[in-house]
Amino acid sequence: MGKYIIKRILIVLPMMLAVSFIAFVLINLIPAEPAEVALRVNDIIPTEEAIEGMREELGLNKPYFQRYFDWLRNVLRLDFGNSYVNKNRTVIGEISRSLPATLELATVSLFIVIFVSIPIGVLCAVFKDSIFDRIVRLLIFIGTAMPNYWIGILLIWLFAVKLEVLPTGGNKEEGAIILPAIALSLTYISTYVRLIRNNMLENMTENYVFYAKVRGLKERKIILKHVLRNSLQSSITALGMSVVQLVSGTVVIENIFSWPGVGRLCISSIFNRDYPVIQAYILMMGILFIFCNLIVDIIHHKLDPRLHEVM
Amino acid sequence: MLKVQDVYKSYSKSGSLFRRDQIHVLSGISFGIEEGECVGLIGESGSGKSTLSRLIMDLEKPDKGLITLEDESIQVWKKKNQGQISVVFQDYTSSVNPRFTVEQVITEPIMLKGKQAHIKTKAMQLLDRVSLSSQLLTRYPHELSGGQLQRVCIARAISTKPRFVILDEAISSLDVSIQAQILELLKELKTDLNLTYLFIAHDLQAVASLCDKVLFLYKGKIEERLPVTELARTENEYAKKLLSSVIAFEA
Repeated sequence: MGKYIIKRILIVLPMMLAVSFIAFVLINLIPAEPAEVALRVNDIIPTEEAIEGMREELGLNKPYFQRYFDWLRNVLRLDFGNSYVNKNRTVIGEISRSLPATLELATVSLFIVIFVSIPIGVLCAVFKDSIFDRIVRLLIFIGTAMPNYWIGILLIWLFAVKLEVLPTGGNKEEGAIILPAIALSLTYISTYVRLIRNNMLENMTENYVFYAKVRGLKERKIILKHVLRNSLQSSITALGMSVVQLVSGTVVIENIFSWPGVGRLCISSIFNRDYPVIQAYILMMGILFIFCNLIVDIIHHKLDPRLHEVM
Repeated sequence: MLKVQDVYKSYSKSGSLFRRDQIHVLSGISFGIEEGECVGLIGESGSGKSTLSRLIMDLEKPDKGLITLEDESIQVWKKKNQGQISVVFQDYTSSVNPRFTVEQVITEPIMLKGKQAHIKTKAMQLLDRVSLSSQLLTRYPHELSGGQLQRVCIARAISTKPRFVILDEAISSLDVSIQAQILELLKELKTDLNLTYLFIAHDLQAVASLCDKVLFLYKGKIEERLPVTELARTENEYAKKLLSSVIAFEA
């Protein structure tokens, strides 16, 4: 077990390096002169001299790899430089200002996903082909087919415009989180209900479940003790990956609901060509992805004895 | 002990819209098993053996007919005699919860009757009963060989001191040499624990060495029933075919 964790962590290091390189290269591939952009966003006319001066200031005249290593060295000290748009603000300051809102939205959505999809998935499997199961399957089909930005707009139209029970956006008013959290979680609920249902049905036709039935174990006990546990453990991998997707997937929802999180910061940075912010966002999501993957792998390894090394 | 009376079972063809599109798996099955007897049920794949065993285990209900244990319906009998009916399946890997250790696998049925003292000693005794080392207690199913795991399944099946055991192709997926060992073990257990067996197989040799009586199931009907000693006198075509394919048996 210990050996596996060490091995797994050692693989993480080169992966993080690769992600940082990709984040750096991608931004530099954008067909625009960053120095010119930095001037334009501050309403300075980009003359030859001004561009040259800005290149000097931003260190863009240095060789490519030196720039990468300089950037990486600063990144390791959590220094992503200053925003192009608002030179007085550091990138890390901008991100740490908007990150809590995103985490709040993602956490609430995750709880909705877990507390809605597990009971519904289990009930669908237990009452397979019942009217309840059929209706849920129809809703899942619709939920998977509808993109979440459209669901978001429909929710605003119904609850904020027509019924006027919830605010249309922002995070100042009470209950403002409800609509974006629901819009964000619906797609995941559809996926998980289907995953848990199918996993359970698969487990329910295994011989060990038949054996439990033959020796007179109660249906409820079989489902709780054998089927549900085994099915949920295989859903953990998917759930771990969803944590990242929830955090990064807030981009669209945050913009629809004017939720002041990192997703919205990212979009406004893209519109303003605020490269350091975009770069930091890409790097952050990449690293979050690697770490969630690592944690899920370790948990999965711990829970499933079939993955343990044979003593 | 077990009485199967005029049992019918059919399934609708998958994807069919009408009820008449049905496959008749079992039609008019009747037989009985006396206490302490071992009855072999033989038939080729698709003859309805597994369906019949599932009906007897009460995993499914027959369309028509009656299955009783000691003159009571299986559901009632199972409630009154908890743990007294048991089963060993062909596919040993899916027969145990992959996340349970051998100890958990064996002791779970015992624990069902309430917490019990010296549970570990009991598990060790059971392992010893099926000739396995008690060192295997902490192992997981995937760490055992097929023969070992099937012995664990047998240990589990006898853990609740059952009176009636269904052996659903219990030796079919094992190597021939291991098959002989397991057959020997099953014979021993039968005498020692006074068990009643329903032995489902497609291997005539195994049936001949373990059972008192043989039933030939063909296309959902019982074609012939014979005491094992009179196997050679069979009238039935399918039974003859099976017999002639077993050269070693004739010799």
